[in-house]
Amino acid sequence: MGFFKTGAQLVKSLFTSPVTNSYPSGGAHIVDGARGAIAIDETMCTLCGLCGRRCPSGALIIKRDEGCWLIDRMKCITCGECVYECPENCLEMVKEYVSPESSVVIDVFNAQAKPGSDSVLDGIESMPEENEISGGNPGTGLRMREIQRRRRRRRGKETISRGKKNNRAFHRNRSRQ
Amino acid sequence: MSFKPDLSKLKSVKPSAASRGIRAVRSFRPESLWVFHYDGSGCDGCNAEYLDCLSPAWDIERLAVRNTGNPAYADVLLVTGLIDGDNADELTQIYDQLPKGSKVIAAGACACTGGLFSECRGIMAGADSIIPVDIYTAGCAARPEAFIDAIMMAKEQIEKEAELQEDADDEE
Amino acid sequence: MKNSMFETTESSAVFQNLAEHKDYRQLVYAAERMYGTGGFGNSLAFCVAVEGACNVIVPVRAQYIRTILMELSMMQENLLRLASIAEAIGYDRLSMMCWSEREYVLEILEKLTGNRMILSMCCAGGVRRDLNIKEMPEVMDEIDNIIIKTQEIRKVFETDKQVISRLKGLGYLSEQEAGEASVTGPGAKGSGIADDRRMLGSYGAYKYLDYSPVVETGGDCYARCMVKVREVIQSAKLVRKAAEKMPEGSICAQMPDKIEGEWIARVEQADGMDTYYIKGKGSAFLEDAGIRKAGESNEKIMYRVVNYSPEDESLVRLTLGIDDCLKER
Repeated sequence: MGFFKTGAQLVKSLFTSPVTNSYPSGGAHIVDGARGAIAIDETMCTLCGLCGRRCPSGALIIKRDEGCWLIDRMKCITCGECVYECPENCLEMVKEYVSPESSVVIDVFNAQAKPGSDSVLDGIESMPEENEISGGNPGTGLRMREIQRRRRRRRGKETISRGKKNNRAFHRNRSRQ
Repeated sequence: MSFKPDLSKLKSVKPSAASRGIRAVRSFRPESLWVFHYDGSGCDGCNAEYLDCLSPAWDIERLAVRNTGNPAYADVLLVTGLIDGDNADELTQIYDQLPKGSKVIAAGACACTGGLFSECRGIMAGADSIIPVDIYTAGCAARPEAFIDAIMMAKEQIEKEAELQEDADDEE
Repeated sequence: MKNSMFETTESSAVFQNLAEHKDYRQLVYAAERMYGTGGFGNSLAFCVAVEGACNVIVPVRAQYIRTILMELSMMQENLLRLASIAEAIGYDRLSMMCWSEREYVLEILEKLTGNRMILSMCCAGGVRRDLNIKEMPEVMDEIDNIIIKTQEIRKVFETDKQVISRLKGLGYLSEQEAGEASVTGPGAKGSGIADDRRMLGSYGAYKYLDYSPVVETGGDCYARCMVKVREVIQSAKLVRKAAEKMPEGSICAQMPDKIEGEWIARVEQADGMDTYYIKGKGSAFLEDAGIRKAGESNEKIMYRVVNYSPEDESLVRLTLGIDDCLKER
């Protein structure tokens, strides 16, 4: 029994490096596979609406007449249910988190599952609509598009999506051996 | 569809002379930011992440940010958790005691928009049904990096407004 | 919900409200967010209740993965409570040691599942993702480091005079009183009752891992604190053992689309026993659901024990020595 038993630890910690993560100066080190936000490949979306029906918080809105897919970024709880449910495998969970904004961000993506459409250029043309909805500052929506575009160029069409058919055993009533 | 209480009956608190004096001193040009954290009836996930920010792992005190227990001294009000009919009263009282020029941050999906529980009876769709919110932070639970981003954004906004106020005063 | 068997407590009311609108697969996410730091335990309890009502047997590999994640989740919750107790004593250095240890556990969880506290890994029938911890040497090394550092924290709790003088003798609960109040978790284990839901073997792989609960006989806040520290070390060792013994196999069983029948699931969390009750009505939506959290029975200790320590300043220490959530009530 004695006093200040953490003294030895304290002296040791003077000579070792600090345990503090140096954010924001050191940058964010997020592991691969972290659940940050949902990204969509709008070339493959057919606006079936399954993701919107399965979303527990109702953050996904699918408008078939206008041909767009909306996500309320501040309502999304990053559970991954939409990624598992999508039959076209066009949704993906990326590790970059949604940064703080001055208003509630609702991202709009125009679904273009028609053959022969130039998806990347169409995406650029539709960006002004996004900015209007997210309060005029090119925030999260723009960043998400950039991330998606970079990933697509790097990997081609091969996406490491969670919605691969052989992983969805528990929802399609097939067990995996 | 969801039940909304009668907002006209919410009480508001008059500030005392002492806190008015303190406000006058702290209301302009804060080099250090004092944060008051209010948690509605949340799941404690975002609370634990905010306490993580004060722990040695993320340590917001090295960025000159301090946690305080009195809203009259605070520059930033940080709201986490769900706001319902009972909490609305408390939140308005706390908001009235904030100094002029303070910012409000709503952290986590529940405080921004109600999140998963937005369809429940009695739950308001976010803290912005009760008080005006300046910064919204998404996530469930919101990461410590997102908390730090939001607090730094609030600091920039306060400093910008203080500069504009000084320019306006100089012109007079 | 109409004609619900459960009296409306705080946690039950919101859950029942949500169960009217959402089917059982979406309710797993709602169950997780009933209590953030103990999220995996709550979703596990809900899944066990649903599987029990449908008579579905979970594959063994999924049981092992659930055990690993449950133990990791309990480690970070116990460390949070220890940090709160140390801060209430006034020993900030010890509190910061516990906080920084907790950060390592959260990093392991993020590497394995993608999120720090709200894991979303449990689904009715098994788990969502496959984990192979044996082939992640950095995770196994990190667990060994955590064991070493928690042994140091345990030494401080055992030998430091400041800790002992402020926690010993506070809030004494005898074995008989603890049994009468039907207390679970550290409240019971600190008073000498070897009672733990993990011993039943109804969920998880504990029956393959030779689990036996940690027991202290002091009955006061100090004993409950020591139970928490020793449980952190025990959980880390269980994780290591489970990672090595995990067999091959499937990770999820078939679940029917409709739920019929009722079931009660009891799961051990860091502060006691959580109870989940569900009743199906022949569709994917539930007819009745209810929750009883451990904190609600830990309140009883507070009412019995406050008479014994009339000083006000020891009340904060006393409260935290019972349960971390009580400080909000």
